[in-house]
Amino acid sequence: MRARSLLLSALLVGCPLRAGDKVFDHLVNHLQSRYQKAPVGTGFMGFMARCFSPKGVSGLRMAIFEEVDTRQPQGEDFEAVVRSTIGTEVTPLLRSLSRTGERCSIYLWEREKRTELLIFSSEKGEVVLLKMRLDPDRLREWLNDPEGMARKKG
Amino acid sequence: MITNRLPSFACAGLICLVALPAFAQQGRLKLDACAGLAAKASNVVDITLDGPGLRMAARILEKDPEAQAMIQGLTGIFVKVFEFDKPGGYAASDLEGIRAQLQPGGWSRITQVKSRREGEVEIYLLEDGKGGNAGLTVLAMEPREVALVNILGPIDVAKLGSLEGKMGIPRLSEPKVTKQATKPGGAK
Repeated sequence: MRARSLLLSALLVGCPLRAGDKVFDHLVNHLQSRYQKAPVGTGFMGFMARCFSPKGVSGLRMAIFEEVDTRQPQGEDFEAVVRSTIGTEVTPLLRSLSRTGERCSIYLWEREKRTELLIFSSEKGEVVLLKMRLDPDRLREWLNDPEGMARKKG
Repeated sequence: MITNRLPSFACAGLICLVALPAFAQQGRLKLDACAGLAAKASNVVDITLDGPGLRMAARILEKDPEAQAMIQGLTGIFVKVFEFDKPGGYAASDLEGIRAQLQPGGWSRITQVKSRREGEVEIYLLEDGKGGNAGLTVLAMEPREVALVNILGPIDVAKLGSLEGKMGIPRLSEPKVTKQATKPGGAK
């Protein structure tokens, strides 16, 4: 009985965070069909990450695609998918590409007075997608004093 | 009568629509013109902060009016950083594609700082033809890194310091290098 209650509580805690994030789900579906592989990190690991995320961060979602073929250029293709999902005017705030094929794109946009952050990272054999909502006041504090905020542990 | 003029109105409207983006992008450098640098670099980082991104940044800075005013009139901030494995991993000629864009069209070099150890920094301003400026470009060339910063919009150079220590912009220390300023328009 206690185990059932615990399971139900965990599901209730997890559900509101999982529901309603169509952007993340759409992008994960795209990557899943591309790599023909289910991601890890969406279940228990994602739940734990949400529990220990710093103040000002909410709705943390994570998907990790392991042992996938990242040799094929994926950046431009993924950018087009992101644009069609979030909006055509959204461009990556930061794009990094290394000679070894490591690639990282960071998107930041506002929706319904919320600041949303999406990180796409691709390196040898592994692709990580991370999305979260940020409290603008907290974000400003982080931008102004990243080291101090890190010392305060968020 | 007015129907006879419709094609003219349509043409004028079309010209305005075509010209508008070009006007908005005045001074925007083609940072991709450095194909030589990109080919030699071990890592290339692109930062784009345009319309929606700048509006968001202005809102984030709303509790800091001075910094907010500084970026409110801007239309874009574009940064490209090339990192190299070894010192001197690039040649001066690799930057020709960028320098060529800074020669005509109102860009003038206002500052050049050279250091044997730390490299070279050049700052260019884009004149708006009304006594003000419409953009700023910084070329920072270090032995293992080249950074290009292209800022579009009116910039009050005197107030640039208000961004020091904010949003991750470091506080500037006293330069330990020899400063060699050139007259506006006297680039190269």
